[in-house]
Amino acid sequence: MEQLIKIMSEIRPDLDFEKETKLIDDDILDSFDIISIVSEVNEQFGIEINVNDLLPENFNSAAALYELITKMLNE
Amino acid sequence: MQVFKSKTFKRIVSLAVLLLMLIGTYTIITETLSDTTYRTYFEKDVKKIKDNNEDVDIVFVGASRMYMSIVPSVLEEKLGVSNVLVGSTATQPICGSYYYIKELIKDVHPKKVILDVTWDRLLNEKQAQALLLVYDRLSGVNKIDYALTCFDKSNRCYLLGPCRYKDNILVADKIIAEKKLAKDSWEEKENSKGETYKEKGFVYAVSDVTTGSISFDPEADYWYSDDRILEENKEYLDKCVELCKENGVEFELVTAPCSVTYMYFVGGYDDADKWYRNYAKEKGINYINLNYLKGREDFLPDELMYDNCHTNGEGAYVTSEKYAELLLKEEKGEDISSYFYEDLDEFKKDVHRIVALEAEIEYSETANDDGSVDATMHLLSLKNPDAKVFYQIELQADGSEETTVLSEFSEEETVSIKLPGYTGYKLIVRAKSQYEGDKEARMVYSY
Amino acid sequence: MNIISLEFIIFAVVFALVFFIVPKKWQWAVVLLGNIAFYAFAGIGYIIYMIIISLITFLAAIKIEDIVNASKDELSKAESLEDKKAIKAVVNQKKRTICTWALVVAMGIWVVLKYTNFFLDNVNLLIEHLKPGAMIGNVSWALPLGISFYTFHAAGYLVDVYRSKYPAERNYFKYLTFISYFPHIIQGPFSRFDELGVSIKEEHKFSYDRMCEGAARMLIGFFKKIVIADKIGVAVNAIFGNYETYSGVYMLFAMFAYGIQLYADFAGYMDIVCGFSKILGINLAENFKRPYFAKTVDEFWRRWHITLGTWFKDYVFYPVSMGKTGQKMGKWARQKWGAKMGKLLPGYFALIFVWTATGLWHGANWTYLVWGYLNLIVITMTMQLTDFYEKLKAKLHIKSEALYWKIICIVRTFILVCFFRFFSAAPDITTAVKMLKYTGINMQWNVLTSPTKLFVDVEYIDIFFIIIGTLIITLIDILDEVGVWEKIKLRCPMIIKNLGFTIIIMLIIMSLGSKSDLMGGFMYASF
Repeated sequence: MEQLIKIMSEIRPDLDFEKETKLIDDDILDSFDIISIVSEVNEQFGIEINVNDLLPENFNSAAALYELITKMLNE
Repeated sequence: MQVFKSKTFKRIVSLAVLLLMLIGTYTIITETLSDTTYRTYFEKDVKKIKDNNEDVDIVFVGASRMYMSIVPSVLEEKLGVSNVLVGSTATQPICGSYYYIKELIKDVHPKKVILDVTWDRLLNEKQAQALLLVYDRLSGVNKIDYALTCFDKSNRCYLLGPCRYKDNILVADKIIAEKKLAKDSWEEKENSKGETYKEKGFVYAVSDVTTGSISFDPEADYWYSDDRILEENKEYLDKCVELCKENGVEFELVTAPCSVTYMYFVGGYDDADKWYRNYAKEKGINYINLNYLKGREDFLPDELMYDNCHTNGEGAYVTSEKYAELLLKEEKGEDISSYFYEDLDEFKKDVHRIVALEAEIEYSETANDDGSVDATMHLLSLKNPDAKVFYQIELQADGSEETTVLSEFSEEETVSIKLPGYTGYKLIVRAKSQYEGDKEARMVYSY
Repeated sequence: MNIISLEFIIFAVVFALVFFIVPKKWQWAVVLLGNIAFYAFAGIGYIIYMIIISLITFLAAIKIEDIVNASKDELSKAESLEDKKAIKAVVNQKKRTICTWALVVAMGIWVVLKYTNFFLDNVNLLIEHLKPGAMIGNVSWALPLGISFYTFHAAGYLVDVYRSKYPAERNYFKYLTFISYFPHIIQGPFSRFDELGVSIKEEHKFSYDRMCEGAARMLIGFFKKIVIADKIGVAVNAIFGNYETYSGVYMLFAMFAYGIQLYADFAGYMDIVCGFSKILGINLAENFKRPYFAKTVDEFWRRWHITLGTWFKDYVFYPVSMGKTGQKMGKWARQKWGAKMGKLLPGYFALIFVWTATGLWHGANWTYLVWGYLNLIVITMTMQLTDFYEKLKAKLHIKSEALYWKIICIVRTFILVCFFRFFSAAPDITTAVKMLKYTGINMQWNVLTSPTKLFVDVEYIDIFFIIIGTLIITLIDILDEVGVWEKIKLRCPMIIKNLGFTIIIMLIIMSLGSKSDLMGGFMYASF
């Protein structure tokens, strides 16, 4: 989880990913942020998040994203 | 007081407040900004007649030609009738005339309705302002029926007061002043255009014919032909005839005087007259074209015209006298056709003058060394087919009686002249024919 | 049917009445009937295209879902991970085939109808070079009403089902209701099936408050269109149509006036359809969020025609930037230029597709492409130079949070956005360049001494209505931007509220009939 937060903070140092829960709903992350996060996460965790996974419930918070990562790692 | 706190009550109150505000502002805007027209004055005249339960013998319905050329008192005296009304509005569409006649028949029970017709009456598309002027004079169910039938998508919105009068916001003070004028007394008040409402719909107009001939616009594309008649307009004319027949009211057509310039200028003017003569014969009604009255050149010269389409006040009296005589003869059963020209060609034989002239002036870009400016004049005139025109251009300094000839009488239609560099002079263009007895035409341009 | 007409108001009232009278489970059917009636006004024949495109996507979505459901059985029976992966691969392959073909056909219809002449014109240019005189004639197909919108709705739905975002709709007529929904069929907003589609199928109870809200919003929409857009459009048309006479300061004025006209026209239309939809209890997505308050062009496109932006984001930007090509590009860029470029380059690459599509979607003309690419260049440059700008701002002691700086950014963005529109407004590139030229020469600054002259061909009284109208809307937008407007609406005393409505209504009435021609139709309606 810390690894994930580190990745996200590098891309958006101005945000506190421990607290934010409406990253998509409130338009906090923009599309460039998202593709950066996804490419970095894919690289570091060795998974393949793709377009089909870009749902608000997966990206609204760091915790939600972590859940997605975990799920993909277990498949 | 539970009910006053309930949601429903609050909603009803809110809705009521909104409706009140809307109706209030709507009414205030409409009442304050609506134009004061002859309608206000005319309504008072009609009301007097209705209140006294008086008889109305003739009602004239039509456009401003009518209300500027028919003097009720003259007809009343000559025909021995009471109450001749001139219920016309400016520029009246024929569908408006129909609904208006309906209303007049109901309100004042005339014995005769005379409708004014001209070469363009049946050619014109409906125009919003014209439709509205009739709308103002109607009432009740007839008014609603008229609004639903004669107005279409493009001009319906003008039925709403604020929409119709919004341009008057800019001249609100003038509007309000005129309203006060109408309220105090409606008699003998001259408006900004030199028009005075006299009585029973007649408006006395003062014209300023000092420049000589009545001018015409060479660019204007006025012409008549039978196939330009709009189907809808013809239908409404038929309806007017039917309406009067059904109600036992006599129905007649008349063409009020226009200028001789106009008769020469409008293409196919004669064809229009022929169409109406045929129509009248077909429908078994009378039709008088006052322009074709023999001797018209003499008793209705340009000096008695307000402009190309209307007589002025004095001209109205002359016209009404002549017209009354004709109506009298008609009543006695006389055949009055001998009093009229057969057609325009016959009329032109009695015209011994250059009827009108126009000049277009082109200035050169730069002035000459001595300050004068070269100019070219393009001259155009209306005349009989056999006449030759000779133009002379003269200069007259302001205040002086003397004139300098810039270009002598010649048939040239394009003339080069030299204009002075200063202002304060008049340019006089004279046109004469080859016939000795013919009158000249002249135009005066002030600098 | 023109939305700004008595016919539409009567239609809307009757529709709403029937909608709330029928048993709630049939409300969606009333909507479908209403949609068809509305479309019939435009020419019922064209509805065939809508039916074809919706049928293709409908059937394809069901097929895809059936394949997935069938595979679940197989997957539960499969024993090894290898087998599971193989089954998944086959399923994905099948899904992709169906989806691709359906999209190709459905969107192909739209492409052919809309872009054939553009294609032929360009082919003719080539042919002219090779064989002068030879020419392929243009086709005279009319573009069916709303096809640029419902095709995208259909395509988006199909892709969503493909992505297993939500289940496929099994009732064709309910699906057709979503596709043909008349409030959004002519100018949008772009809707998603899981929002609008679901909303249409739900049961809707009448709510007086919601009706008032919706009606008020419709009123504002009519106000924007009638009092502002149509009237200022007269001046814009007169100036753009005669830029040689109305050069210099006139063109500058027209450039900004066009910006106002476009906003009032489009946002006004949105207010009317969203407001009406709200009366029914069906929510449409917001398409505008006070766009001229954007501080950058990028932000502008998240405030203007929002749903177009999100549609392209979900269905073009992400697929391209996160696809194989995008990922490869990112890796390569990271190696060559470092982490930052590695993240930006796939995005830029995707943006090229987005802006090509956005430009061409607006019109089958090179001008729209140029316009799109102008936006693209500014957006990417801004992103690329972010660090540089931060350093510059630090050096000049400019604080990003400072109000004056925000205002400068807003003004700058407004100017840029209006400037780009020279290209989208001109009929061809040559004219666009000429228009630009005449903006810079023969300035006629003296006209500013009597500024009402700038409103060419506009009646004098209408100039005041335009100004008053624009001020009112600007004020509302400012209050909304700072977050105060909603509070004001809630706490406003009833008398003030009603007074406000009265003023708006009176201004609308006074603006209805104008001696200058009323602009017929909306600006995006030929899509």
